[in-house]
Amino acid sequence: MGNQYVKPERTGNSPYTRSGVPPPALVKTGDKPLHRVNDRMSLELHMADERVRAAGLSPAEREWRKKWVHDQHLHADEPVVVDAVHRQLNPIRTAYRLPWDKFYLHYLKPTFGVYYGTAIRVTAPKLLMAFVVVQTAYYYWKYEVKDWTHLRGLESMPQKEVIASAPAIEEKFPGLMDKGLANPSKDDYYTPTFNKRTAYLDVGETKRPW
Amino acid sequence: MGEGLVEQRQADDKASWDAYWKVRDIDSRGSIYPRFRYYAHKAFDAPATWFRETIVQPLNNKNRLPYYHRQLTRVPEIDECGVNDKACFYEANEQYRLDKMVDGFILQTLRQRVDRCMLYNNPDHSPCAKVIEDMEENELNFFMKYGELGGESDVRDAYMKQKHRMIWERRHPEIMDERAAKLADHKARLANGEFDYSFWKKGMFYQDKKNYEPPYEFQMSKSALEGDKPLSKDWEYYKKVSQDPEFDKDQGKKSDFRLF
Repeated sequence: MGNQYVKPERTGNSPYTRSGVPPPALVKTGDKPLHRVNDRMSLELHMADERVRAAGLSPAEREWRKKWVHDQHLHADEPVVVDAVHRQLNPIRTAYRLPWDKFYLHYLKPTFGVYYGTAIRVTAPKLLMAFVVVQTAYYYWKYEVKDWTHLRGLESMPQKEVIASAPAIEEKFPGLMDKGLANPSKDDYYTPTFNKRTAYLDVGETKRPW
Repeated sequence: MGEGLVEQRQADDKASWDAYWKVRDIDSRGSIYPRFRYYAHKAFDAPATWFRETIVQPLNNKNRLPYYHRQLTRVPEIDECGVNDKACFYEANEQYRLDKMVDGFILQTLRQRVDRCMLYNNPDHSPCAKVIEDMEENELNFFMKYGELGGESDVRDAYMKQKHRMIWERRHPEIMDERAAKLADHKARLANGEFDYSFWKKGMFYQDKKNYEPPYEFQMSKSALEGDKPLSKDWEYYKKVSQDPEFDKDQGKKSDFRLF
């Protein structure tokens, strides 16, 4: 029954509808001042008028609608934000996030706002970890050098420093550059830590016959 | 002696670093970018230095263990073993392996010296003449004992090689005398500051004679890790040398390569 095509009877000559009856005018023209917004795409239309919307309702339905309309006016303290509802964390996660949560709540958010406070909270630990990693690598490069007693460690070739005022420094502080700058010839090109060893100073005659 | 010596080494190291920063400080005064670089480098260096001097060094000094040098005993050589004494042969072979390892480490240390010297004095390698001389002489001695035997050689192979070399030297005294004279001349010229690298190697490292590969072998006859290759060429080469006086008069004995 619903699939049959029914063509309405044509009663007018309007080209915009099948029946020829013109569509309702959205804005009435005339000398009367316009008290409504000229919004042709409005979906409310006449239903924006509360009286029109309540027309045809029973008294009980009118009371219900009045209650609903009044419910849309919230108190200044509403909506109440309960963080535990949105962040349901177990005690361990709560424990290790406690310091930053306190710091964020009392300093970062009031000072920098929600967005930048969160950005600082996310970035600062990463920067700290990066600093520790870089410093550890530098420490290993500087101190855990390859030694004659073990095979671990790195050995880096010292570059010849270009000292612009070498003559003046040599004149004012004789021996300072030779003491401070790295020079493999001081160690006879052996590994630098070999001359700084504290053991194996004198082992006597070796037992190797050649 | 260890306690005072350790503190002395650490004090020397700290004094060296202080002198380095002082040189950087004096050299960068009055400039903009070098001064900023000095400050940045010093600031970057401060945490690691503080950690080392405040935390690590006291702990290391407190927990340092004494260092004892082990005196290893030697077993009888292969020439003292009986022909059927397998236990003596086994011990001599183990001693041979240890000696080869230690000699290899010594040669490795000498090569590292050459690397450091050449890197630091680039492009003028003349200060490295003594270092290169030490390395080349030790490399030749290493080759005389262990070279051209392959990775699976044992003490008997080295023993036989030595015996054969002694026999050859006894049969050719004129060649040995000439070699001794040339070595003495080379040493004298080195003492005068004149270093001739072609005395040891006639060309680049890849042209060294011990890296030759004979043309009659189409597969690797030795382990590539050893780096040893046969010195001899095929019989046709030597036949042509004997028959044709103009063919390959140098025979790899001369070189115009100059290291510096």
